[in-house]
Amino acid sequence: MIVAVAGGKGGVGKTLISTSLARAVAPVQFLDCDVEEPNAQIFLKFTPRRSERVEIEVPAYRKWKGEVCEAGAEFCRYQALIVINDDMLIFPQLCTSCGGCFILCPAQALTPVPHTVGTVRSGVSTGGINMVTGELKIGEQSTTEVIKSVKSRMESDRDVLIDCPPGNSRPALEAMRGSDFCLLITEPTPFGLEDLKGNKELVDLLGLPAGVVINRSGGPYQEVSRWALEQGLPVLAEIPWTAETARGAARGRTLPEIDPAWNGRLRELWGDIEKRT
Amino acid sequence: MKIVVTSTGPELSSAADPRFGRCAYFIVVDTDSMDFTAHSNASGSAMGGAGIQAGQFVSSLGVSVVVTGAVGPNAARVLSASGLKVYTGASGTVQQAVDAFKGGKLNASASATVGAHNGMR
Repeated sequence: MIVAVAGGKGGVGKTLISTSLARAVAPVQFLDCDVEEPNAQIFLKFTPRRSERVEIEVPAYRKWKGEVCEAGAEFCRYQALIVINDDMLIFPQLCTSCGGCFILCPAQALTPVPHTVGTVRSGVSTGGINMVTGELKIGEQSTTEVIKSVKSRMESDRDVLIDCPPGNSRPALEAMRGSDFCLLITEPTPFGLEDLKGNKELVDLLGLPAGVVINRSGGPYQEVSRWALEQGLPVLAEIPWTAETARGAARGRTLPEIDPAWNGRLRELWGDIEKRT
Repeated sequence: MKIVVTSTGPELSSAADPRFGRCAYFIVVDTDSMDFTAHSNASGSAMGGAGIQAGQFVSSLGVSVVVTGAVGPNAARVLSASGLKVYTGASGTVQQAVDAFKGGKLNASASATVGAHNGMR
């Protein structure tokens, strides 16, 4: 079973909950697809055994018979490739590696060269958790390429947990797609509700079964559960706000480490998810 | 001599825009006659690559000098490939920036004076 742990809003506890689930239901493979801020290893300490570069193909220009390629430059809507003063300038960080310029330009003028956009590290954490984490290089924008690279290391013979990036755009979609179930993490605030609404649209678009976990629950704001009920979106668990949980999480402890009683509750949640897929 | 000044408005009395790629207007000024033409910057709200687009546009204006507050790395590459001289540190109105340039009070910058995405802040 592949479970994506997502959430429209940042800071609602996606990583705390996904790493806590991993601890409770191991053996499992954990994929940190929040590649712009990969911090699951704060909760699941691990020693990377392999580190691999994620590369995309970008054009390199060689002056060939003084020929520039206007068609390729005109085609590039990201200005990664421009013609200026009978020369071509290339900005690899703006290139999305679509390959259009290679089709339009003679091979003698443009050749594909690798450009590193991130790193993928894999290794083993304690308690039977296999970890893969991706990290986008600062200044790069090929977020989805790094996510795809992390997901290409998915193991087929064990359960997989995916820590997704926040939001409802391409990176979140890329991390969620192909999973069997989406766990939508939110908090009981108007912000949490707004972003959950967007997340719901995304899982509907992908046709994935989903359920909600409300983190830091127990406050007076009840709109999140009311809205979820209206939508037929099950609220599978609530994690009450306690000073003990906040203190533990701030120190990089997962829920089962903060209170072993969470092991049972999280396994129950896992069983519930299994029934719904 | 024709120069271009980045500006927040279309007049010589408008405040000079400290940003290059995301400035509101490019004002082409003839430093002898003080005749000027204002061009609004189409790349001011571009998602990305604003400095590159602006650099390409400016290089098509037939000027030899760019006067602005600061330039980022991508714009600096384009302007230098276009053979344009870049003067940074412009402040006050466009008129004052032109005067400062004429008085030799601005810094000639061969490379970027700020990091990427500075104009988005």
